[in-house]
Amino acid sequence: MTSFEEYTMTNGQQDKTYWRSLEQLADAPAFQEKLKAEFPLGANELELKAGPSRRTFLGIIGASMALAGVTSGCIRKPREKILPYTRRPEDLVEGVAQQYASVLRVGASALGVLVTSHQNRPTKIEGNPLHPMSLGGTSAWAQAMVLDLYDPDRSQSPLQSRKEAGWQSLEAQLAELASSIKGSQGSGTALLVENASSPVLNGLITEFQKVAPQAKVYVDDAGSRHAQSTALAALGLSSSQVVLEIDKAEVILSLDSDFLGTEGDVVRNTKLFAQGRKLDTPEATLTRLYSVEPHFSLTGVNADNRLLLRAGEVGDFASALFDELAAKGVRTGDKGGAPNVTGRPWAKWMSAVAADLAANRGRSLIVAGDKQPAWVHGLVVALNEALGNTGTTVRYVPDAEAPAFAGGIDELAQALNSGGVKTLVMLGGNPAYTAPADLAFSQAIGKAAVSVHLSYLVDETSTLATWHIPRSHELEAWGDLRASDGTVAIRQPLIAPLFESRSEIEILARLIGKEPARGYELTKNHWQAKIARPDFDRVWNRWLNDGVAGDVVRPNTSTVAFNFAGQAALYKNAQTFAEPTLESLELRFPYSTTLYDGRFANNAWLIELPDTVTKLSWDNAALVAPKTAEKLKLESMDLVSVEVEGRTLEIPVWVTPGVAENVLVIPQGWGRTFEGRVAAGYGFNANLLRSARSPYMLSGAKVSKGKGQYVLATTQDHGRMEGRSIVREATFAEYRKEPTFVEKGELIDRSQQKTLLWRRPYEFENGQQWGMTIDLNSCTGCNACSVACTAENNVSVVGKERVLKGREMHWIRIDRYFTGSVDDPQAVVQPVACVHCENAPCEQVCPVGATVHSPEGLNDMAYNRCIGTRYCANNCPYKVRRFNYFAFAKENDESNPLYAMQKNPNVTVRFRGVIEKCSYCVHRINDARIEAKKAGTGIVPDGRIVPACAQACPADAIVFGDVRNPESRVSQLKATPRNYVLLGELATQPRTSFLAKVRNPNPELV
Amino acid sequence: MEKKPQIPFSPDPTAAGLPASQSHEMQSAGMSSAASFASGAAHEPVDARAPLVLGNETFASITDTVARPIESKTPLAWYICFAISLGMLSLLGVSIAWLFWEGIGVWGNNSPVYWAWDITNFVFWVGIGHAGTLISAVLFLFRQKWRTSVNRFAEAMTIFAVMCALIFPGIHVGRVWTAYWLLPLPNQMDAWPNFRSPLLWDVFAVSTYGTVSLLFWYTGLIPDLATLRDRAKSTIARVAYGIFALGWRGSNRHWLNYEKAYQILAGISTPLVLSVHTIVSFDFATSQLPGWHTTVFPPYFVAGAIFSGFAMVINLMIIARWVFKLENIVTMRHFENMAKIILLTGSLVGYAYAMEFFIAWYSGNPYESFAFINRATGPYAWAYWTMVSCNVISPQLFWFKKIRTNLWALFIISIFVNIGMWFERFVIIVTSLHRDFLPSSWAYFTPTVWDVTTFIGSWGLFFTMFCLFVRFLPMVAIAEVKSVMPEADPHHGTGGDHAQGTH
Repeated sequence: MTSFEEYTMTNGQQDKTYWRSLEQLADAPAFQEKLKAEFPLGANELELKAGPSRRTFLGIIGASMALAGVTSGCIRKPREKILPYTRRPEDLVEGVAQQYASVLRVGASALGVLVTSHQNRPTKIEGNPLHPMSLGGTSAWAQAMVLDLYDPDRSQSPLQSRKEAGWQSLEAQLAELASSIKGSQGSGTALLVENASSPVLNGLITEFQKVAPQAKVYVDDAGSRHAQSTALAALGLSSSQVVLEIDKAEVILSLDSDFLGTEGDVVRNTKLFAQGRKLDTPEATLTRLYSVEPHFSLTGVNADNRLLLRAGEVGDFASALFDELAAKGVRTGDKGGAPNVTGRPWAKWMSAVAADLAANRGRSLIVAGDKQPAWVHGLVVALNEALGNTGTTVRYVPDAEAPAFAGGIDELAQALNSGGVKTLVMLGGNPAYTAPADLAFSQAIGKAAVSVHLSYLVDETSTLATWHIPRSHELEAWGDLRASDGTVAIRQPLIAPLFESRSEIEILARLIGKEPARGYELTKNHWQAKIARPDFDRVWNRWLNDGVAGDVVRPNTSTVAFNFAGQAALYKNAQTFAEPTLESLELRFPYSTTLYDGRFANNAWLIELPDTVTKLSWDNAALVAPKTAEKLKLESMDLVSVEVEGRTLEIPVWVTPGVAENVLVIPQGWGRTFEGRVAAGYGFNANLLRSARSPYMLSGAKVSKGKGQYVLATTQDHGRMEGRSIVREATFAEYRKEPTFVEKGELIDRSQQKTLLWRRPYEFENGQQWGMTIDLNSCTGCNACSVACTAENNVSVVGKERVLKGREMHWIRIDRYFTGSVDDPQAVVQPVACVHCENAPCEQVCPVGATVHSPEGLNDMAYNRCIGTRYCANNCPYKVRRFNYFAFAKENDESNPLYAMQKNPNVTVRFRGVIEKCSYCVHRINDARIEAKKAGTGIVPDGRIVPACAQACPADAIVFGDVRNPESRVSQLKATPRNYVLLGELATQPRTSFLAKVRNPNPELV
Repeated sequence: MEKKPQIPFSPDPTAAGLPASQSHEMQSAGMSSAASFASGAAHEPVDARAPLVLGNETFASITDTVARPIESKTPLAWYICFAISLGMLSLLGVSIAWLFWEGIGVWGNNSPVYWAWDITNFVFWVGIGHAGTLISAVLFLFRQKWRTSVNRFAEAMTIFAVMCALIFPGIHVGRVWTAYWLLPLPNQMDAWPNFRSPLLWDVFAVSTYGTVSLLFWYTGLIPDLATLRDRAKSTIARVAYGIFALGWRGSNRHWLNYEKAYQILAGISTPLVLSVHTIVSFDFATSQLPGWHTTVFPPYFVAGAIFSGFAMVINLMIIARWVFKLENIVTMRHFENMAKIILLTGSLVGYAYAMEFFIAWYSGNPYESFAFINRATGPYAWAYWTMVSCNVISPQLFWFKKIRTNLWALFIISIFVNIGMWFERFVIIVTSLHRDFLPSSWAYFTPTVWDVTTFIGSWGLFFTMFCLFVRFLPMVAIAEVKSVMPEADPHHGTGGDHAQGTH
């Protein structure tokens, strides 16, 4: 279609010379046209044009029939030309994917990534092992961000008062703004940024503040960790960030924190936490995680001891713990007036934890949750300091170059309402949706005469702003990110913007009047000035190659000077949350584990991804404990009206074990109202109930039963194991006493599980034999594998109606079971994909031999041979086979022509009517095998093949390799006593085995 | 008795040829043994039973009675029935067209219930088809003369039921355009079907059954088609019947070949009665799903199939007998006999249900025990108890002669049996699938409107075929019925007056 242009990484002077192969395709008028129309080809013609004539109507119908014929393949395919490169770019071998290092802001973390690019299309995101926030792992969010690049609803041109305006008029407006800001020294100007994690942006903000000293700069983002930074500032550590060194901790106490799921550097935290959960050798020890929380977070799912406590009481717990430790002589700072709490039912639990912490000074860690108020964070800082954890298990990393902010969203709303803001510039974010309802931010925006909003989608804020500017995706724009530990990485784009757009630094540079205002120069010049080395080009290239700016000196964190007197100021404004009752419930607003604060709402992979605990897909709900639901006479899916402080929200309830009594948990991020074709109409907006005063919890909520029910789609109806030994679990003490405890779960003796009636097609005695282990002890249930698999294997999204019918297509799913009592349960998670049985039940029954065994032990699917009897799926005891009930892949591509660009060319896109399932990433196996053959040995070295799930896993729970080679890591893990196969009594002889879960509860609390 | 016994003259070659052929039939088809001829009527236990044809029917009147619906003017009621059936058939067409256009997703099937109404309907229809062959072949070989007046009807039912059944495995595959890959067709890829798969055995079993049943039915039709040909008044009818009558003239040689062919086909069909449903049951029995993986399935399925097949014959026969005034040919004795078979097979089915539960407990297999407890008490308990009340309890009423001989009771109980047998397949397929090994994948199945219309549509096909059958073909085997009449006995009226109790 177009000649491919060469790119040069260092050649930044030419306009847009990076990865531009697809740009012309994207710019082609026909293509642009197609993208703009949700229903291409004539569908618009039918839309309410004053009475379309019968002739037109028939014409369109006729044409669509003819087109239907075309698309269903009744005629020959149109001719397409494929042209070779006239000059092949260096290192580019067609058909061989390339990887580029970059860094993405994922949640609250700066995640170093390696992005896979197929023929210059970014298709997959992997973790960068060199980056300390990734260490090679990723999260579900990071995996899904590549799909955002191809979002069908991404904005394609600037808007002025919701009407399309050209780039020229926007540039004129920006120039005008720049000169007026300069002229007025920024008086009446407010700038809102998402976070202070980009040094380039921070530098520009500082410059902006110099140009416009009267202007106010505000920061607001779900990941800005407001409570924590407030607490640190009060204790004398302004502009500091907390880095958890979890691998150094033996005992961890989480106070309503979800450091493994949604808060902070989750990938890094999971990596380090998982290290303490490995039991690969007999003498290995196990860390202990205590979690105090009002509902199951991922952290609570993985806790050894979990205390179910409403969010409003967690502060009391921290205060009581402070006293308890102080009584043991472990004390630094003071409580700053926090109440003395005695006689609570959890007192015994708390003192057992205190004793454990005190016994592990310097090897313990207390983490306060982002949803807890600042004074709790302050107490936790003091507790960690008293326990000698500062500098070992927890580090406070200052950022000397962080700009000074005038406040957050509350202060901005106040400024707007007081009429002090004439010009409002919002670089990203979506405050009209995310701001708590009591700020009435949507109305406040209107108070500014000019409001400019840079955003990726035309979202709730864009439609209110006077100007909307399309924002470049993180994979399209130059920039940088500073991780919480001070590591800087350069964000290098993988592709030129698919549609003309700007990044936040480019807009801010224009407002300052800085030239040239292109991302590449801004970024490179910033660092060139900082590093000031003659060979900077070489340094720069190394940074880009490594994905880490290794020459940037990280701040020294060895000495920290606290000012604990600040604690009193923190506590002064503390709110108390009365004990909730049925008439006055406590509300809790966590971030959605899939959509976060709503930014991923238009991401089809994430909106369909079931939450690990609730297993809800395509909606959120008010989570309520079974006991509370019973008392309120509520059942799952009953619509209720929740009222708090005069604000109401109608939402269905979902009865969820593990929620504190008289508490209603409403995840944020749902119920978006903008015109996103994925997001619109799903879920309920928790922000309508939230208050800026206490953004994450409120008391005094009333619930009244509404009319009827709202149907929620779940991927797992049944949460109990029915006494079957599916997830095998023991305590650490039991494991030590009897390392082979898993064998007790066998229905028939393991030796008999090998007895077969028939001969197997292969005896698997030759070559390399592939197998996998999944360590249930380190798996946190984070869903990264599931999304990674979706991205790697072109797995289709099916939509809510189909999920309701149980037709979701995930090749690897996270099964979640509750154990223990309904009122205070434990949860276990288990990733299940095809286990590649050596004696596969599916293979026996397929009448056409579409699923057969490979000599290397894979259970292969021949999609072309499959006729879709579904017999294999019936006979699969693991129910991992997925059927294409409709032409899902085709529907996906038709609903968004851009999605096709994300597809992995090495994996067949499945058509309607065939079964699909996990292939162990057979294309990656073949790739490695070809490489080994070329190398002459023919033997693939251990660790060379990493399936997508294993690569994404931040806990390194999934290990793949040659089970015939006793030296391979997978063989060694299979030889450990915790190894067991699922449903082994069926003699399926799976190649995937599980390593049983071992919890390490405090013996005093058992 | 005043009437002189005679072979009534008739243009009917069947009748004309009877004396000669009949004597042969006596030996080959064995209407009664040579020994019984010799020993005399007084010791003949079978022939001493109630006559099979009532009233003062003669050979000619039998022919007239059976041919009347075909030769007389088509009644309005037939048009109405045919229109309704055709309407239902078009519903099938629309449903299948929509299915092919959109995909299997138009049905309610999900994960883990990958098979639901599609295979339920398949097994249901195959089961219905069993009575026909049983009556034609097995009862023929066992010299059950009473079969003659119902066998044509039952065989037709078999053919039509197998037609309905064959639809479902054909359309339920995800890619219908490749469904022929189930057949072992030589191809350049050297790709053969998987001979280990019970689904492939199914293809062979059901297609063999369908073919043999059709041949058997057609062979039996030939003499009657010739009768119709010879009675036909319009050229079209004469030519049409003539083509299908294959030049039958009723000669000795024709009868000889006919009887041989008929007996051979009966011999081939008899094992098929057992094999078809045995193999259909293998679809389930050889899998490893709890609730499917059961060794009792083959006999249990065969019993169930005969059970439902006879119930269906009773339903259809009661209507046809009333509409076409066949009371003299299809007598209460036929119904009673069929009711007894329903009672027997119903009890066998009930035994199988109980045995499944016993084995589920006795095996000590927790998945198996769960599957059966879940059947009786789980979300589909309503289906299970519908099945039990229809299949186990209702046929037990047939212990009472009064009920066996009451047409209303027969009709209603037979409908119950058919409902129960549909539910039996639904219970086996859906309740076993919906909760299997891993509770994480458990789900509930709800049918869609397209599931329902496809099923109704298959009834449309069945009824359409039946309407055509009763309109254009003799619904009672004329020649065969005559053979069980006293007149067919060479000794009739010459002293060997052993079968004329009512004369």
